[in-house]
Amino acid sequence: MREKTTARKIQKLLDKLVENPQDTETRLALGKLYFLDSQFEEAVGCYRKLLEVEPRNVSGYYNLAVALTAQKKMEEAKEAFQKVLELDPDNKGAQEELAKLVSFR
Amino acid sequence: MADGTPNRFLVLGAGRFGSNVAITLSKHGCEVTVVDSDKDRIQQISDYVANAVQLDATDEKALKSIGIEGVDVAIVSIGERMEDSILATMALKEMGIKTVVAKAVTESHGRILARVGADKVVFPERDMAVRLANALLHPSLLDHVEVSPGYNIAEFEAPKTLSGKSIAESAVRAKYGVQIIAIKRRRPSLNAEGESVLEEEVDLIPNAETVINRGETLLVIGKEEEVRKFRSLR
Repeated sequence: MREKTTARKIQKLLDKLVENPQDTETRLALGKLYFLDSQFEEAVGCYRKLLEVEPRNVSGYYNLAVALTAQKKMEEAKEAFQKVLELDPDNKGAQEELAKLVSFR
Repeated sequence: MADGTPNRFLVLGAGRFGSNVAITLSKHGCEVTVVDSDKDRIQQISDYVANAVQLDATDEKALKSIGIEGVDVAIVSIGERMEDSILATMALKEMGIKTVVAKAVTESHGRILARVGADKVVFPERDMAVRLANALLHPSLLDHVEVSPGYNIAEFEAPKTLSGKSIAESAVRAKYGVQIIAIKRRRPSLNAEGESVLEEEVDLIPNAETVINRGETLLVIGKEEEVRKFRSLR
């Protein structure tokens, strides 16, 4: 039941993007839906497309970084978090996540 | 505490090691008193602990004056001068502090601390160096603890060959002689700001029907050789 609901939600957002591919808000929401559904590859693809339209979108980079972390692509995740901090140096979330990625446990 | 868990701590030395111990204990709700002779260090840590006092940690009278007799555990982390940590350890034991943990810089320093009464001696640099070396030699190994000679708990990413199989199907114990004691997962979620986050979940003592998924981390206990063989599965 939950899978159908998620699939429906995803389809709704995809339909919206067909009408307006430049809609970054919808694309961000779609990326997060994919992420929550553990479709990390699709989430990453979504965020990358968003960043083509809005290359300075902090949320886009942040969510991309977390999705890359989920895929264990740590070097790419680090780069994405660093990009967040370039655009928003006071971003506490990115500071903490980046520190976690580089710290030795 | 009523259940025997220590709750009142004294930390002598607010350097890197001491301050991190103090702050971590404080975050867990413990009452922590930090002592250091350096005013700046005391100022820096005072926001994070119950009490931060500038005084000479080797001065028994001065320590008595701040009322530390009820302390459960004292941690001596004076690193700059070995004699200071030795004197402080002796003073604390003479004052009747039940448990004194002392940080040692060298093996001989550690032996002296043990001789003057330290209940436990820790070697943070040595121990961290060993862990780092092990991690560099075995990149898939996230952590490793010796339970007793020849028996380890190790933490590493689940082998791909077990992905999608339950613990029962994997027959981990029968085939490899190790026991999975926990599985760590990172669950995708959104934080309060609506941004993506991976929340860590721990499935402790997972039952036989629990499925092992790709990317999950296993905590495994067993004989050293068997843990090593299990870890080398692809």
